[in-house]
Amino acid sequence: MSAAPLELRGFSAGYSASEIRVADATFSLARGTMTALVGPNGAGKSTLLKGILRLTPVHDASSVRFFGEPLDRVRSRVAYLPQRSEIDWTFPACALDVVAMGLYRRLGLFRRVGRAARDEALAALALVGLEDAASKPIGELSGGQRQRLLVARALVQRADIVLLDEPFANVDEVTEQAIASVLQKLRGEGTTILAVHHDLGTVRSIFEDAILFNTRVLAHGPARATLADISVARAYGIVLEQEHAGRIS
Amino acid sequence: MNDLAAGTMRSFLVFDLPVLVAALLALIACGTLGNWIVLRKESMTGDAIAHAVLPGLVAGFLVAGRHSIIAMFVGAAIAGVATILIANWVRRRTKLESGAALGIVFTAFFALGVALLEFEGARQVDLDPGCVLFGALETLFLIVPANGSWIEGVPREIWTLAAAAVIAISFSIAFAKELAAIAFDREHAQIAGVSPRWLEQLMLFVTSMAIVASFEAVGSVLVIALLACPSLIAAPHASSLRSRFTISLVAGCVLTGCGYLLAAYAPAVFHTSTALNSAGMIAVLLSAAVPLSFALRALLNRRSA
Repeated sequence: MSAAPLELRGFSAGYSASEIRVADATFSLARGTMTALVGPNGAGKSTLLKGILRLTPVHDASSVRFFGEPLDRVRSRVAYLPQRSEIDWTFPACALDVVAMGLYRRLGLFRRVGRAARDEALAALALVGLEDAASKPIGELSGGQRQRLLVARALVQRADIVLLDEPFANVDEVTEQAIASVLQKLRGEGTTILAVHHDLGTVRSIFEDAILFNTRVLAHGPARATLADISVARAYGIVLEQEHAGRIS
Repeated sequence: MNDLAAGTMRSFLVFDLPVLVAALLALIACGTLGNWIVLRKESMTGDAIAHAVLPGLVAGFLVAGRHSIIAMFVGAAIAGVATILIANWVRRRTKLESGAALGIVFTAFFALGVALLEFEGARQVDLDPGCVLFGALETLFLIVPANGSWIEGVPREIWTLAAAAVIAISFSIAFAKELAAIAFDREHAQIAGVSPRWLEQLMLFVTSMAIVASFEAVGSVLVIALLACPSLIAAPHASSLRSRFTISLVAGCVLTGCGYLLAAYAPAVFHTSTALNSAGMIAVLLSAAVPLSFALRALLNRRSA
C-alpha cells in the first residue's frame, strides 16, 4: 500500500515554546478525499496549514510526511492556496500571468512561457469560469474572481494534494459553486484536498470529511458525524461563531 | 561662429556627457533592480544596503590606500552581509518587526561610516562626507590622451557603472519568471519550488553590487532615489511587468537628463552664483515626480469616469 498523501504524527507549531498554536496534531489523509479543517477564529487552523508547509516555525519537521517523504522531495506534488487577503492585488500582472506562475516549476529556469503553457493556463481559467478575464489586470477582478484565479493557479500545478486556506471566505454564490465543483472534480481524479473552512453551514454540502480543530485535533471523520456531535465541541471548549451556530441542527 | 559651436560641442562631450552617461547608467542599474525591490515591498532593504555599505567602503578605501574598486567592493559586501545578519539577530532577540530591526542596524552602520570618514578622511584628499552624500559626478570628465583614442579617456567609474547596468538587466531578464513569482506571492513560490534560496541571495548580491558601483559616482542620496523612485513613478500607470519596467526606466532617464541640465545650466541662465549639485537635482526631480505621477493617474481616472 502506498504512503498517505499527508500524515502528521505529534506535529506542533508556533513561534516559540510559550506560543504554541498547534499542539501534538496527529492525523492522516487518504488519497482522493476532501477534508474541511474546521474550528473557531484563532484556533490555529492557518498556522497548522502553514506549519505543514514549513512557512512558519515547526518543532519537529520530521513529524510531517507527504506520500511518506519530507516536503522538499515532493514539492511538485503539493499545491497551496493562500488566503486571498495575503496577496497584493495591485501587482502589475494579468489573470493569465498569475495562472502561468503555477507552471513555472515545470517550465524550469530560463524557459519562457510559450504557446503550450499559455493554452494550459487558459484551460485552467476556463475551468473556473474566467476565460473572458484572461488579459484583465488582476487589480480589476472582483473578490470572487480573484479567489477563482488562485484556484486556477493551483490547478495547473497538477498536484496530488492541494491545501487551501479559506477558499470560500467572502465569495459570491457563483464562485462558491465554481470552486466546489472544481475541487470535487479534482477529488474524483484522485487528488487529496484539505481546506481551512469557517462556514459550518456549508461544510457538509461541500466536504465529505472534517477535522474539528482548536489548537489540537478534537475530532476527525466523516463531516456529518464529526460536526453533528456538538456536545463534543462544547466539551473541548470550542466557542462556535455566533452567526454559524444557528445553522447547526 | 563655427569655432564657437565646435568649442561648445567639445565642452559638452568632455564635461557634460560623461556625467550624464554615468547618471543614466546608475539609473538603469539601480532603477531596474529597484523595481523588484519595490514590488517585493522591501524598499527598506535597498535603503538599508545603501546606508550600511558606507563603513565597508571607507574601510576598503583605507586598507587599499586608494580608490580600488575591488577593495571597496569587498568591504561593502562584508558590511552588507553583516547588516542583514545582525538585523536578523536583533529581530529574533527583541521580536521587533524586521523593518524596525533593519532600521536600527543600518543607521548605526551609516553613523559608523561617517565617523570613520571624519577621523580618517581628514588625511585623505578625495574622501569626504559631502562626496558620500552627493557623490562625485562633477569630477567625471573625458581625458583624451594626445595621440590615443577617446576610449582611453573614459573615466573608470563609467565602465564600472556600465558593467553594473548590464548585469542588472541580464539578471532581471534571465530570472524574470522566478523574480516575478517571488514578488507576487513568496510563500507560493517557495512551496511550488520556483524560488530557489540561492536566487534570493543572488538578488541581494546583485543589488549590493549595483548600489556600491553607483555609490561612488552619485552618492547615497541619489542611490536611494534611484532604487525606489522610478518604480514608484511607473506604479500607477503599469498593468504588466513589462510596462512597469519600461515606464520606470524611460521616465527615470528623462528626469535624470532634465535634472542634469537644470543643475548645469540653470545658474548661468538665471545669473545666480549658487552652483547646483547635479546628483542632488536629479534626486529632487525623481522624488517630486512620484506624487505627481499618482496625481496624474487620479486625474486620468476622473476624466474617464
